[in-house]
Amino acid sequence: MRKKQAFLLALPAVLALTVFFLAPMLYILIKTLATNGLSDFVRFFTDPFYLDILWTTVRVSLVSTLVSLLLGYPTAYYMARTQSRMKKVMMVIILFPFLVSAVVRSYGWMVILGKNGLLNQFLLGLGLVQKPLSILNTETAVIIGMIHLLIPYMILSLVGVLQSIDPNVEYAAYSLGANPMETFCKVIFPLSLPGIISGCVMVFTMSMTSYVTPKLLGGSKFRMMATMVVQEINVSFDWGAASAISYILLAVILLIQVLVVLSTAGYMKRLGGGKNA
Amino acid sequence: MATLELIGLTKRFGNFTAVDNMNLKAADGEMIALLGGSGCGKTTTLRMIAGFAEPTEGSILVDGADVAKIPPYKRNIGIFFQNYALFPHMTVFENVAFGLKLQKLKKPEIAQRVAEILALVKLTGLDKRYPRELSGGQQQRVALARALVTRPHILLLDEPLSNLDAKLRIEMQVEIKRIQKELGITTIIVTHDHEEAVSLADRVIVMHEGKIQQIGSPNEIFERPCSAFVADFMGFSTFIQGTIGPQEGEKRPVSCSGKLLYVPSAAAEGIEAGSPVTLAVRSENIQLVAEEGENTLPGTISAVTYKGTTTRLEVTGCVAETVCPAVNEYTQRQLGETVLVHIPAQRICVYKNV
Repeated sequence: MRKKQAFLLALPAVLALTVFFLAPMLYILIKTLATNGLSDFVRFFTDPFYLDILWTTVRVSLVSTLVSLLLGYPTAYYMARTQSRMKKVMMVIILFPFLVSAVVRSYGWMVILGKNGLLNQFLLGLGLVQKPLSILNTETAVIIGMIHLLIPYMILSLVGVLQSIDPNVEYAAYSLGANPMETFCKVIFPLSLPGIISGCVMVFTMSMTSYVTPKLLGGSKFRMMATMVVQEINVSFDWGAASAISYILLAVILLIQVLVVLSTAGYMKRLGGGKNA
Repeated sequence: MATLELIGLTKRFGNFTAVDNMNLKAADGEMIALLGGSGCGKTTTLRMIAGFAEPTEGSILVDGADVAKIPPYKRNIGIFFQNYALFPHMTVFENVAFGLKLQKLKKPEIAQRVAEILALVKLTGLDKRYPRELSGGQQQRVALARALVTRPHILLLDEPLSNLDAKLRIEMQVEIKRIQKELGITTIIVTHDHEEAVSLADRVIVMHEGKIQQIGSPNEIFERPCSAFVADFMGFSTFIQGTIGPQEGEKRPVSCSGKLLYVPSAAAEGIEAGSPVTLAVRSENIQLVAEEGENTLPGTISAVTYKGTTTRLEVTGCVAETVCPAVNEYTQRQLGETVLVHIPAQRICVYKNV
């Protein structure tokens, strides 16, 4: 009885997702397969042009995820452990970018990274470079924009799990002779793995599917999977290719997520409820 | 195994002084209890000894050497946390072996020492379990084994029994004392529970607001608290205000709201006649008697609390304050019953009011 009532509560959202997301997705797949068979998929995997786009997408996403983790972890650790008022201030700073759209933020980066942008003026002014660096319209610019866009998700996910680690566990490690590095490697890091995984999966997925950032910061020659879908539709009018790309993107993301979940399932099970005592 | 000395140890947080000029010397193998309510500075003291907090002033000597500049991971001080703080991602074996692995011992030696210590805390056979698969008492013994296995110079125990049920508490009291004596480790135990302190420690230190109130043997602290505050903390239940008179033989009279109670002169040494004083007595030392005599007061029962082995009464009308005898007779005492309360002179502690 209770289960039925709970299902009723979930029904509106389930219905909305089924009608507006699942059904169109299936429609696109069936339509593509019915019209062109598997040829669009075969073309993708046999044409180096497409494979290169897939590799670029995965590479940009991996780098963005890794850098977000490396930059986000110390911040998250500080926020999880500090008692000062800085914590609230930092939380606001981290949440603030959510109030500004990705488009606006990308334009901001264009102003900074452009040929006559703030960064180049600064470097030229200091005499650190002789001629302006071309960062805008490169993969580097996309990665920078991506990290800026996604690092809050990483930090929030890490803060949650780091806060749940009992500080006494750290002290216990110290008292047993572990220096700060050993304490981190053997205690803090393994205990924060659930947050690292959820943060990385979230950032990686959003980076894989991003459209605005590569479009605006990567320039016309830079292509990622999502921008390619739009290009196939708007420029080549090739709906078959577009739906094949979107399905391959979906499959790659799912595959990586499944691999991550499977490879860490044993450890997660051992951690159990996470906290104890 | 080592001696521990605190000299003028002080910790301030802004304007708040958590620990105020604390001096203490623990002999090799001694077990000392820091006893006090929350916020009395006992845990801060422990954290400073462990090296997790830096003293504002004063020094901590282990075997005569100042450890102030030594980071916690080089102090070789074992610590047991109130919430055990076991590593949740490690098995019992891995938890206990953690410190030994860091000492770069060989595998067979680690296995042997872990097995020995697990036998000592009676956890043999549970080494492959994870902490969450253990009961509270078992987790506690893992924490104790983990703190002991590295053979620390000094062992710090933070509220070691507070999370256990009554039966386990008694068992663990015996266990901790046995293990501590067996290994002869100098031990500081922090607790808010006076029974825990007197039952475990060789010496008890009562703290309040960062200051030491009294240092003494469990018996001294339990029977002869040095102030009304310590008496209150040690479970004295009846406090009577009065004015003390001059010596009459071995005794001195105290006039308490018009009634006379006699106290031994030895208990009131150095208090001038005419001074206002507080008398303190434990419940279990106050009896109900049938015949009037010295220090008997008539009163009316205003509350009855059944406590199993004893029944705690509140008797009003004897003096201005409520007198709380604990009786362990089978006869039922009724509310409103008139009784005769006897407070034996030898059991009264006398404190001059300040």
